Amino acid sequence: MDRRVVALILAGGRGTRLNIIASRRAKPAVPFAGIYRIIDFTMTNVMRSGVQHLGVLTQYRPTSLMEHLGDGESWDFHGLRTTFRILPPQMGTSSTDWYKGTADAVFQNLDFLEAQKPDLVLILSGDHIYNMDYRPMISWHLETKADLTIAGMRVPWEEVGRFGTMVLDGSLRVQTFLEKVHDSPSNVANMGVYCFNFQTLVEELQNNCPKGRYDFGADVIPGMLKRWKVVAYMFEGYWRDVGTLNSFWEANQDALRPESGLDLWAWKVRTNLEGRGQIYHPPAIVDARAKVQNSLVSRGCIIKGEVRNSILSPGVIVEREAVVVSSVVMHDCRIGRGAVVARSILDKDVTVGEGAKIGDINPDDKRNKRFPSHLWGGLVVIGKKSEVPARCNIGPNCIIGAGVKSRDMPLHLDNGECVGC
Amino acid sequence: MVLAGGRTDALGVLTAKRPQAALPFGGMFRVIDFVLTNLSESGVEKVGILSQYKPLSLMDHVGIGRPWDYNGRTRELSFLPPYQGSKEIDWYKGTADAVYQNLHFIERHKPKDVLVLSGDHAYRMDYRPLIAMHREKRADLTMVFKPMQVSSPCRFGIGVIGKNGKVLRYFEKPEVPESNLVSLTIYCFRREVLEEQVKENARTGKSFHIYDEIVPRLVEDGRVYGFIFRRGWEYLRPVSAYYDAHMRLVNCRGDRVSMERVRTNLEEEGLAEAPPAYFGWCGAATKSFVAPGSTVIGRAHKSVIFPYVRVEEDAFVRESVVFHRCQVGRGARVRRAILDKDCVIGKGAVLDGEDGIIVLGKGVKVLDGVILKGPREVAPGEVVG
Repeated sequence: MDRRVVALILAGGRGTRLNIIASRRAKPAVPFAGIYRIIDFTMTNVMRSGVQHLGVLTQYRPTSLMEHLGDGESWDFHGLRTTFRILPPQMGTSSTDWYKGTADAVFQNLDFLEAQKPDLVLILSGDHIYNMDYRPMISWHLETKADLTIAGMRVPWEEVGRFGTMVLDGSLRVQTFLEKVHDSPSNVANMGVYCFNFQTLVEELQNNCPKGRYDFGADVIPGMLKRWKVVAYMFEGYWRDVGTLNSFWEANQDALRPESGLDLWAWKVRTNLEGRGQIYHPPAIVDARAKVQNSLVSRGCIIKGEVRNSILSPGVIVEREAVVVSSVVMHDCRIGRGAVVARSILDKDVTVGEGAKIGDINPDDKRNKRFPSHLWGGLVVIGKKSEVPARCNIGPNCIIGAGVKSRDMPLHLDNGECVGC
Repeated sequence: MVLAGGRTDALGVLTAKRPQAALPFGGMFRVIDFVLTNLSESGVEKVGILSQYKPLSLMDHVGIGRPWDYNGRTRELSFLPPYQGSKEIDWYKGTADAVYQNLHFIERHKPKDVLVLSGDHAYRMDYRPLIAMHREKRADLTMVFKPMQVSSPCRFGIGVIGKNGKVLRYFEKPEVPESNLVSLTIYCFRREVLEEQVKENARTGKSFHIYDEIVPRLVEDGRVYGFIFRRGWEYLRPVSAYYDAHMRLVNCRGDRVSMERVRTNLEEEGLAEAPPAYFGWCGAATKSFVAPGSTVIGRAHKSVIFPYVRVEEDAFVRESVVFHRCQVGRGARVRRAILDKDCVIGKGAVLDGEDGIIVLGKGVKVLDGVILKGPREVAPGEVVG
């Protein structure tokens, strides 16, 4: 029997550890792999899984996210048989509150869910890069007669501490649910993909949220294991939580190697092409002296210099004798003549003056001085619309905030410095 | 009124199954995208497309005109295919006849002036200054000319313009051109004049073409003005002109067509799902246009690469135009060729257009190691081995 499925994407989170590239936009709205935004991957998964009713919960700086999602049409949400709704925090009669956690966000939108009369509710995160058909998971949920099914994935043991983990029995029933502990006896990570029976979800939210237990991973699910049947669905494939600048940079690099598992050609990810002048750009142009190696180059780019191991969003201009290596360069950046950009993440509209030198081609074992937990390994991050003056020299592990004017930039920045953030 | 219906033999296999207006151009566009973008950006709110020859690919592409903002309450784009009326007038006999048979579309909107354009040419133009001049001069017809190098005999219409902008004389395809002003078949008619002229032409015409029968007559009897346009305009006919237009793009030379802000239908050809172009380790793509979804592992030089093309290792595509989804196998050499969609060039095959362009129709397969010399044209779907 066909079950009515409604999906909710939690897209409200602030990506603190993505620092300046997520300080003025929600993390799911961060540009990724040239033309996409992070949420496109989950949106495409929902679309291809045939789920026709979707709500997206927003909270932190949602403007660019809402503009990007529009009315959902880019992901085929149109016509009478589909529902697409942006669900911002709202004032009610009793509470006037912001979402206090993942479970609370869903709890505050029970009206939306009830109106949809679903049998099953998929709760997803808008922060992850992965390609997944949710239908086998739903089948598994029905087959095992579970009340809640959680997608899990085996991760390397040394990374276990970064994830919530699940201890499973032989039939994949969840025994223990642990939030980010280093000595977990299990390396099955919680992917943040949940399939709930609607009634179970309602009951649990009503029991927990009014009592101040607001989070699925920390509060709600650990308390469900005895009372309900909670099973895991094992996912195999590429899945990344691009929560840090380093993992964001690495996942972008993965997009250059389909064998990494992140295969943009096979995944056919949809994005909203009307954003940011995409529809106006001609094909990429490579000039007579250009050298483009192992790189993704979007529409509207003009390459006159050298580009290697890099990901260029639409409208990027690389002038003659400039070199861009191992970098993520977002929309409409201009790299001036003779400049060198290495191991860097440039947010939109950054201009790099002639002969400037940013970062170092080789990795490095130092960290940013002010944000040691956000940036390390030799990466450089430059915020939206900042200007790097001609012949400026920026060392590895530096962070330049958004909108820093050329006159406010020192001409030399040591390893690990910050400007304007 | 966009005339997009004409059948042409001048483009050979490239227009075997599509009108010229639906021909791919410039790496990811179709020819008609340029006129539709011009109209949209000039603020023209009602557009009729007169189509006749194999219009399906064109209709799929244009749809209801959404990519060019022809949706909403005040803007309209309609396809005007041939139809049977009370009299069996059926097929369009010429450009004037096509407009005549669709006078109902013009009457419905009752505009002050009517632009009659060809959807077969690629150029970027703001029509507003043309319309402004037309109204200022209170002209019956204002037509656009471009100063060009012309040969004798000339394949275009040639005008002679007086000091005040009035067209003094006009000759269609003259043996010896009297000026270098070529008519771009971009016409702005006062509505009443257009109606009167095509009605008259329906009674007395022979070729039923505007350029042939209406323009010369109006130049003699009416107020016809010439508007000078100096930027890139491509006629795209015959194949050599279509090819040269692309080479002008990659060489950045001459009066080339600007591709800035040209809109196309991204729902087509999987463009909506195309990742950025990928360049492999060889790093030898130069002076080329490379569309999204394409993968260039080997070399490309002075070429226009459309979406989802694959140029494999050690392959070399040079001075060529490669349409959607073509695959150029390992070690293959392609020089001075136009490959229609879905062509497969086998490993080590050689297409050498040095002595004349090679044109492969849609889906042609050239087997491994085969050597083809130009000039040569291969029919769609053929296997060359």
